[in-house]
Order: sequence, then structure tokens, then C-alpha cells
Amino acid sequence: MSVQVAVTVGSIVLALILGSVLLALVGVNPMEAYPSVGALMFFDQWGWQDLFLKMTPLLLTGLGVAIAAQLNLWNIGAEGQLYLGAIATTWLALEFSESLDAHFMLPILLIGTFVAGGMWAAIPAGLRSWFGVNEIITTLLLNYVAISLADYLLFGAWRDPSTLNFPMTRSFGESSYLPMIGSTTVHWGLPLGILLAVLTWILLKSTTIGFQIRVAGDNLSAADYSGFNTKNLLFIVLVLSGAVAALAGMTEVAGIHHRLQQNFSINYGYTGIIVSRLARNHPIGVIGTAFLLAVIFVGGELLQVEYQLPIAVVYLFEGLLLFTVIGSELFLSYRLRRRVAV
Amino acid sequence: MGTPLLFATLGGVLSERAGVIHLGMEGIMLVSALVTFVVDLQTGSKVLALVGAMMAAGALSGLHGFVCISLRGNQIASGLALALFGTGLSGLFGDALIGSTVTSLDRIPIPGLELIPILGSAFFNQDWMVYLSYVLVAGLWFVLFHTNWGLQIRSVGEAPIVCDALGLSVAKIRYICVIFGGMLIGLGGAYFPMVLTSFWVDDLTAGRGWIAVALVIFAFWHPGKAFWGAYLFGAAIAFQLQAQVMGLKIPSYILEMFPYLLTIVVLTVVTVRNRRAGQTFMPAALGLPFFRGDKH
Amino acid sequence: MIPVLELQKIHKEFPGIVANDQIDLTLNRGEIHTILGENGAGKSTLMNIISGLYIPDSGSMLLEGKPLHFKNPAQAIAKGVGMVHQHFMLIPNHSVSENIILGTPQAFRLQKSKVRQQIEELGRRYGLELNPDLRVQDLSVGEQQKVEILKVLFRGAKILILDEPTAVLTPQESEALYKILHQMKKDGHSILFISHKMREVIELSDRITVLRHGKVKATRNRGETSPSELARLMMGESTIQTGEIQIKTSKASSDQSQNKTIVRLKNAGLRHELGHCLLQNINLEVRAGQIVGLAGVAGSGQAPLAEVLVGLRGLDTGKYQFAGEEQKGASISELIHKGVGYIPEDRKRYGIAPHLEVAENFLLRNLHNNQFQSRGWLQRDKVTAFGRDRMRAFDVRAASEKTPIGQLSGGNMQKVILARETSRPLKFLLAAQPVRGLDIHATAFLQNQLLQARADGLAILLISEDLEELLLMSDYLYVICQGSIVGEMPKEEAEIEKIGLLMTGERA
Repeated sequence: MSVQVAVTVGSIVLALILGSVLLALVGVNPMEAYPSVGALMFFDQWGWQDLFLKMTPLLLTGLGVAIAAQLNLWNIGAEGQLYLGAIATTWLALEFSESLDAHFMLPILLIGTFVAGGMWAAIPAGLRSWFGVNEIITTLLLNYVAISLADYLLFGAWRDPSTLNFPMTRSFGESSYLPMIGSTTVHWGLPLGILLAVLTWILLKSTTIGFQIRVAGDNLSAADYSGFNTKNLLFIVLVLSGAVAALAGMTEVAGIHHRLQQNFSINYGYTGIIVSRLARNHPIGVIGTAFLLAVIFVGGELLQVEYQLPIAVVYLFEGLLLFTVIGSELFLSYRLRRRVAV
Repeated sequence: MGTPLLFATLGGVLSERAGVIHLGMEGIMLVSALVTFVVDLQTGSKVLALVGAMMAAGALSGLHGFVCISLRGNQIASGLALALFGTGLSGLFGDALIGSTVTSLDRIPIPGLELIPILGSAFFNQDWMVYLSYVLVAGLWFVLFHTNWGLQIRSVGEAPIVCDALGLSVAKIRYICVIFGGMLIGLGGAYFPMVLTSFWVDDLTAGRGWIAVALVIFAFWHPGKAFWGAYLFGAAIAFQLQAQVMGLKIPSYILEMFPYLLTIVVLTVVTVRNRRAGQTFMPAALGLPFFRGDKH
Repeated sequence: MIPVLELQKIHKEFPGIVANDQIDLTLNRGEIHTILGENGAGKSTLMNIISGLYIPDSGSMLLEGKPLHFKNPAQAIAKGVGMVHQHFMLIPNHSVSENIILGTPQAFRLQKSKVRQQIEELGRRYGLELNPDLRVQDLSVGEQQKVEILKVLFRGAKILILDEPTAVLTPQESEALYKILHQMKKDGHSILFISHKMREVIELSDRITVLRHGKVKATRNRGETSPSELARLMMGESTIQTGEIQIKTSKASSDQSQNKTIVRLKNAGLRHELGHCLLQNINLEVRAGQIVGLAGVAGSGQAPLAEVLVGLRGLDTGKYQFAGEEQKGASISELIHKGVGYIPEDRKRYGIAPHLEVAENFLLRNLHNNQFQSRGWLQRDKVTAFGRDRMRAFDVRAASEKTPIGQLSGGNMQKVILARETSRPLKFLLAAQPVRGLDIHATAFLQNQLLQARADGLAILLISEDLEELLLMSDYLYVICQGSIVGEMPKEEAEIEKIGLLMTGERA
């Protein structure tokens, strides 16, 4: 365990060093930028609240990806699922928030978004389960479809005429706002994400369905011979994965923007893959790694503001981090191999 | 529209035949497009621009190779990292270029062939990069199936353990294929500023790299089939753009979904058909890192 | 005369094990030298050192009197040392000729017709005729072995190492191999032959070296030893004397024919998705308290038959009756409920979840058992206690019941599987190659357990490629070839020669 942590920390440090080289190339002095960004992030009230706000969608998409990974499935569609979740939330909120109060509205949003995300993920899940179609490619391509769908609605039926043709909907009624925690700007999406992560862990460890998932993830053929319905397991897990990732869309639009607008996600879905990978797909681990990635996000935003860099700097750091993380896995797997070999 | 897909698919075929998935095509294409644009802008030389693009693509693929081959990292995750990293690089360094323009390549009709009805002007009244892509299709086919190199490449993708025992260097062959494959993908990226758009925009390749990843699968890892697949999808994208220009009564955002949905449908059909036929064309060791001393 | 190969004090250790302990060995020109030893005696390690796959910790190797060190198999091949592995190192998707020329110097553009000629010529000389254009995946096991030998000869090997080459062959195919080996010997090749089949070792070898616990116990010349001496050298005096490893003789109870039929296949047929026949017109019965053996060359239809019997696939034609009821369609869980136990042939692939605890692995195929769950919640304490209990009963050696099962040895893994399958009320046990790859003690333990289960009234179908094992264990025998039952007989009428012929599809 301590080796794992050490290797993970090492890979993060390495990514930061490599990133600093690239920053220097565009004329930003990393020795200056890192400390000032760090200070703003951790010691400024705006900074740490923003960290927790960014952590929320990353935790939910990361958890979604991690759930799929339990069966060695790659859900690269978390971005699209997040968009679809946001669309579902928006539809429900625009439709009902005037007539219902928050006691009814919030559960409706939660359940409705969860179901919608699950149904959306049922497309690649069904194709994978019953036709054997590679889920990596289908989930990925559906991202583009979901984003186009959001654009279609934003430029069409849902556009708020009062916003001077900006692609955004009108604001939700207040009953659809996720409540804030205490006097902060951090909404209840974060505790929801943590709760779901813990529930996932309990599901895997302590229930028979979780046991079946663990067996099937470890050895699919052995699960078949144990009489487990592995096709159903694949389907359920991928649907669940999409449903959880879709909740990230809900927390974003109902927790922060209170409306749907174009480009509201800064690759949160793709970043979920890194969150999950960094946690070695452990449902509890993603809580920690979602926070780490939030640091990169907020750091990127601050670089954007302080040094006028494009948001692409975030992707750059994500890519580097993922590289160093995968590279470092060799050290962990080598130890394991040697132990098993004897 | 099909040409960048074709270059990228050929690159994917080469790399995957040797057993390494090239999922990061989108990132490589974006970076090589950026390098092409910059070199062209600075020197005005198309050839230099292309050389630069291929070098950049080769370097990025080398990084992918290092993670997948030497560090035995997960190929899918490394591909994603490459896609993100490439997107980030092109966004960060391309920011200053927004608004600049370069010239496009001229069409060079091939005398005689261009007069063939319908297909003639589509295939033989093109720029030289298109002709280069035809040559690459034939060349890659010849190398893979009729040369000793090709035998070694395909063998490394099927059974690295066997190759290792016979004294072939699995790592060396894989590195060569990943890097050369990456260079071909880079040509696909370069085609955007060379021909398709004369000005720089963010996210220039707009997801074509991901379609090429899927195309490698329906081409059954075969260069000849990659040719038809790429042009079929090129036609689908062209149709979508044409329909918008012609003001067809379909909202543009719905049309945008079309190539992606088509990809999913075709992938499903192909997968089901292959399963029925009990065939797998996939290289047996695709995606698996090679450890010497592994038992099989 | 200088030996073609001489090993001096070869030493190789792996973490926790001394695989080769100061081994001396010589190989003369035109000699067949057999290395005999139990599983784990260090034979394979030694051969891997000679063929360059492993590098020894110490000791030296002389080729024609000259010392040399191989760093990889390619260097060994270049010096004329070639190995035919037990698990074939072939690429199924490639043609015979592609497999043979891979890694050899060739013109940039492959000269396919020239290569074909070379291979056919080599084949004629040694009796290894094959069509070079066929894909390896379409060849029988015996033919694949020919490809392996051709591969080595094509590279000009003078020293051939064959690692248990007859383990996968029918008696007739083995005979053909012996002829090939004699031909190669005549041509001046030297052969290192690994085996633990006593009869062939005695008939074939010019010299025999016995390894035990990584050490050379003795080297004997042709005609100067006996099977019993070799067995004693191989297994050690003490084990033989205590009789611990002997299994109880299988004596058929006279009234077996009165026992209830548990499994009955009637005109059973199964087709592949592509249309060709996997199983054809199979009639087979297994009664309570009976061990029925199924003999056949690998790939004769045992796997699809097992898939039908455990419920992974449904029959296309004919009937499958289980305990008197007709079984329609495929349902593994239904058959588990009715009392089917299964020891799969490939235990790592089908029998266990390697990273899960040993105790958790007892839940595979047992999950429906209410002892371990209540309303969807696992009863972890009971699972752990149960695992610990069964591990003790079956003498499973592991650090604890929480150890990942993948870390256990093959024998202990197999004990867990047997313990698991027999831990619920069972009517029928399908045991496919239950002792393959196990050492002599684990083998005896498992075989005794199976015989005990038979005595307790269980119906057992034993699938094996090892005829001696089948004759030892079974009460009744079926022979399968190309998806059909080609012969059946009670144990008393069974002879190795006859079954061997049936296995290859020839009428006895």
C-alpha cells in the first residue's frame, strides 16, 4: 500500500516537472507560477471552494468509469453521459420546477437523471453484451452524438430568447437548485458522490451481485462456469457506470449554472478516466484522485486567468499525468508478478 | 474528406498489426496539423511542413511506444493520454495562430485517368498527397503480405513469445511499426492545413482521429479495405457538409451526429457478421504487453 | 571422442527453489539421451538453459569442446541447438511455411515457391511430410509437432531438445515420432529427450539420466537398467516403500449395472456455429457409483461434450437426460442445482478467480447455497470459516484462507476445486484431466478422492488423454474420435493397443 502511494505521488511530481518544461516554452516561469497558483488554490476561500466544486463532477465520472472497469470494460463515454445527464436534468427542471417544490424536485432530478444516463449507456451496453461490439469505440463515438444533441437543443427549442442569442436555456426555478453546504458555495453534489462511492464499495464487497462482478472481472470464463449470467452482468455494470457518470451532468447544471449552456463541461468525462485509472479503479480511491485532478483543473484555470493561457493547458497536464501514471504501473505490477511467480 | 482518414487508418493498421493499439490518433493528428501549419507559415515550404509533421508525429508515437513497449503500460490508457496531451499541445501552442492563413495544395489531374466518368475526377483529379495515399495503400499491402519484414510484423502481433524464442526483437519491431504508423497518422493530420482548411482553428481535426480508430477495425487490419472504409466515411462527412450548404431541412447539429452514428451501425454489423462466420481478423496479441518469460 | 555437448556444474536458482543443483551431463553425436524425472525435478529448467531461454547462475557449457554462453534462444539456434517445446511455439493463424521460415534470413521479398521446395525436401528426408500452405490452426496436434521439428531442422540444428513430445500424441503418432527420431540420429543429429513415460524411455534411449530435486541421481546406458530401478531413482526409495503414493486399486463392484443411470446421452449431436459437426450421434451412460473413462486424442470432441454435460451449451439433436429427467437447452446453474460437479481441464482458465481469496473461490458454483448468503448479502464469516474447514479437510497448503488462490501451486489449486465441487450434494462429477501437471503425491491424493467418491455412489466421467490413468481408474471406457464414440468396453476388455487404434479412427 505504501509503495502504491509512493509511486502515485512520484508520478504526479514527474508530470508537474514535465509540465513545467512546457510552461517555460510558452514563456511562463514555473518557479513563479506553481507557488502563486498553489497559494491561491489552498489559502484563498474562493480557491478551496472551487476545488470542491470541480472535484464533484470528476468524482462522479471517475466513479462511473471505475464501475465499468470492475469488469474490465472501458467506459470512454462518460463525457457524453454527463451531457445526457445534463440534458435530462434540464428537461425535468424546465418542465416541473415551477410547479413542484424542492422536496419533490430534487429526488425527481436525481432519479430522472440516473435513469436517463442508464438508458443512454444501455446502447453501448446492449451492443457489447449481446452483439460483442467493442464498447471502447461505441461509448467514445456517442460522446459526439450527445454533445451534438445538446447543441441542437441549445440552438433550437431550448434557447432562451432573452440571452441575446447566447446558446443557453433560461434559468431553472429555484426548487431545482442543489442546496449549498452551510454558508459555502459548495453544493450537496460532493457528499452525494462520496456516498455513491461508498455504496459501490459495499455493493462489490458484501453482496452476491458484487461478488459475481468481482469473479467475472477477474476471470470471465470462470464466472460463466459458475452459472453466473455474465452477459447480464456486463450490461448491468455498464448501465450503472453510465447512470453514475450522468449524475455529474446533474450536479453541474443544477448545482452551479442553474441552466444548460454550451461547453459547460471542461472534459470532465474524459478526465474521469484518469481519476479512475489513478485510483487503480478502486471505488473509494477515486475520492482521493478526484481531488487531485481537481487541483489540476483549478490550477489550469488560475494559469488561464493569471497568464492568459488557453484552457488546453489542463488537457496537457492531464495527458502528462496519465502517461506518468501508466508508466509507473510497471513498478507495481512487477512486484506482483514476482510474488505470484514463486 | 476521406484522405486524412485513410492516412490515419493505414498508420493504425501498421501499428496494430504489430500488436500495439494506436488510440491516440486524434492527438497525433492535431499536433502534426499544428506543426504543418507553423512550418508552412514560417518557411512557405509544403515539403518541409510535411517533414516536420511526420517528425512530430513520430516523436509522439515514440512516447506512446515507450510507455506501451518498454514500460508495458496499458495501451488504451496510453492512447487516451496521447489524445489528451496532443489536444493540449495543439491548443496551447496553436492559440497564437488563430486567424493566420496558409495556401492549399493544387490539384494535379492525371492525364487520361481523370476522364473516367464519375470516379475519374473523384480519384484522379486530386492533390499529390492523395496520390501519395494510394501509393501507401499498395506499399503497405505489399510489405505486410509479401516481404520478410511483413511476416515478422504480423508474427509479432500474433505471438510475440514465439518471435522472441526465434531471436526476433519484439520491442524493436513494435517500436518501428508504432513510430512509422504514427508518421502515417501524422500525414492525416497534415492534410487538414495542407488541403482542407487554410486557416487555423482550435480542434482542427474535429474528432476524425477517433473515427479512424474505428476504421482500423472495420478494415480488418487490411490496407486495401482501409482504402474503401476511409472513402466511405469521407463521403459520409462530405454529405453532411454538403447537406448543410444546400440548406437541407435537417438541423445541422443532427447532421453532425450522422458520421458517428454510421460508424456505430457499421461497427455493429461488421462485428455480428464476423462472429457468425466465426472469424477474427484481429491480431491475437493486440493490446497485450510482452514480458519475456511469460507462460501462455 | 569429444561429446557434442557437455554441461559442467550447471546451477540455477529461482526465489525459494534450487531448480538445478550442480548438474553434469554429456551428449554424444548420434545419441538419444533421455532426461527422466518427476514434475518439478528440474528437467524443463535444464532444457531452457541449454536452449538459451534461461541463463544459469553458475556452471559452464561446452559445445564440441568449446565453452560458450547463450544469452538468448537465437544464439543457441545459431550454434545448432534447437528446442521443440511441450507447448508448441507456433502461430496458429499463419501457414506452415510462414511458421518455419519466421526469423530465418530471407530475401526481402519472400520467395514463396523456393521456400515451399526446401520444406518439402526436408519433409521427405525425415518423414515429416506436410503441405506447407496449410494454416497451422487446421493441423492436428501430431502435425503441429512435425512443424515444430521442421522449424528446428530448417535452422540447421544439430542438437534437438524435445520436451515431453509424446505427451500429446496417440500411441501410433508416437511410433511415427520414434521413427523420425531414429532417422535423425542416423543422420548424425544428437537428441535430448525428456519424458516420464517409462516404456518409451527404455525402448528409445541410448542413455538415460535421472533427475530428482534438481540433482542428477544417475546415468544409465541402454540395456543396463530396468523400469523399477528407474522408478526408484526418480521418486526416491522412501516413498515407494511407505506405499503412500499408491492408489487404492479400482475394483468394480459387481452390481454396477443395477445402479441408477445418472447421465444419459441419446443420439446427441452438436454443430459449430459455422455448421460443421462437433459431436455426432453420441450415446453414453454414466451410472451412480461408477467411473466412466473417456479416451481420445486432444481435440476429438471432449471439450464440446463437457460443455453439453455441464450445461454451457444445449444439444442440437438427440437427448440429454440427467437423473431421469430430460435436460432441455443450456443452463449451468440449473445443472449445478441438480447436482453436477465439474473439474475443468484448464483449471486456471475455467476453475478459479485467481486474485480472489481461496475462501471466496469456494463460492464459485456454490453461490446459490443459502449457507453463504441471505437476501443478496454475503455472509463473509461463514464463507471464511467454510473455506478454512475445507482446506483442512483436503490438505490444501496455503498461507491462509485469505491468500489469493492464484498464488497456490497447481496441485493445491486442484484440491480446492475438487473440495469445492464435492462440498454440495452431488450426483455427477465431470473430471477433465484432473491430474494433468500435478506431482505424484497430489495425483495420488486426487485419484484416491475420486475413488472414494465413487464408493460413496457418485457417478463420475473421467476425461483423459493418458490411457494408463484411464485404465487404472475407470470401470467402463468410451473412446471418442472426431466427435463420435468409436468404441466402448468394460475395463476388463480394455487394452492399450486397441484403444490407441480406436483413438486415431482406425478400426481395431
